Amino acid sequence: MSGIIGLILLGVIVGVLGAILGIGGGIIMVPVLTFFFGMPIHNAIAVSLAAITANSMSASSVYLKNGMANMNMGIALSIASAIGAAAGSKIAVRLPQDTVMIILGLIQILMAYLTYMKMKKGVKPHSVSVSDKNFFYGEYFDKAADNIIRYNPVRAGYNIFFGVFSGVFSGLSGAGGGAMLIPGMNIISNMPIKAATATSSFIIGFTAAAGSAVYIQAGYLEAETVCSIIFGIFAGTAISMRFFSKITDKKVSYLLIILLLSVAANMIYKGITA
Amino acid sequence: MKFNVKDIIAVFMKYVFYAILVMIGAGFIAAFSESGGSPFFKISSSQIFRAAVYTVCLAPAVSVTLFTVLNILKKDWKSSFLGICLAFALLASFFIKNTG
Repeated sequence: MSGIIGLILLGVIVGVLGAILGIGGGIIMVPVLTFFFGMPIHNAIAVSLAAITANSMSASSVYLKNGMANMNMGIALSIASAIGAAAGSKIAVRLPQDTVMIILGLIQILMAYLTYMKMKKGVKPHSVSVSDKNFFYGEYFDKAADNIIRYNPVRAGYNIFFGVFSGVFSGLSGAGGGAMLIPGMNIISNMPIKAATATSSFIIGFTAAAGSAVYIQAGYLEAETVCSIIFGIFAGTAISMRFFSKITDKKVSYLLIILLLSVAANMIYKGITA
Repeated sequence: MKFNVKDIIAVFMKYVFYAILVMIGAGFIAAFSESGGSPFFKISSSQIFRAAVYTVCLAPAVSVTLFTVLNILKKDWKSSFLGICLAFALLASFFIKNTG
């Protein structure tokens, strides 16, 4: 019984973070499940991927409805991410995993620095006229700014690299890859941070679903554990939408920087100690 | 045709997630009744939990199909092409990982 309550609590934390930061929570779930619940690593990754899919579904249904998630951008990056995830699973067996982890960790530190610089520089008002709309155009009502934000993502093609990186990261670690996608959309395509996190929530579901299907077939998935976490995710997302919907861009950026640095530290540590 | 693809996908995801929660709730009820020695449902709790997880993992594939079909109906060829590419990428990803 205490195990189930622990899993539900884990789901609540993952649900809150997922809704605010657009991450699936794999970077939290995999270590917690292995260290605190004594689960074998493959089972932990399988559970994490299925829970990420549910987390993505729960958050995206809200973000698509209020316009924060950019669907066309999300689908385009999901393609790159799915290809990257497949490549990641191949890389995982062919390249020295420690080297890949250190490289990805260093990229994360760079992303954290660039996110900080962009936040310090201040965001240009995201306002475009109707005639300037491109294929990836998006708009949403920002409760914190009490304003409709309109934006045209630029250099969307470059984001494909981040999609591939996130897929590789996902294939190697069992995480959804959101921590890689958000800075890419924010820094390169000049998407508002909230739109980037919401779009990331949408993308990670596809990458994680493809991964979890493989683990289901291999018999690693523990359905009861996933279901307990999903129950918590539902509560976490509801809490997040209720209490954190008015969070400012600056606070989201700070939280993202903390997340990026902790992911980077975790990856470099794994790379060095592997 | 005049409809918003984004809204339809959002509604689809919302209700599929609710359906999953109902399944999980039923799974917990079944588990409690099994532990009490008087099964409430004809199927076991582990089967209900498994069905819920399969639904979770299949939902994104159904979302992509829905996205593609709705955009074809809307004659938005660029978006429907993206949807088809994603469906193939997900399938390729699944098979590559599976054979890897």
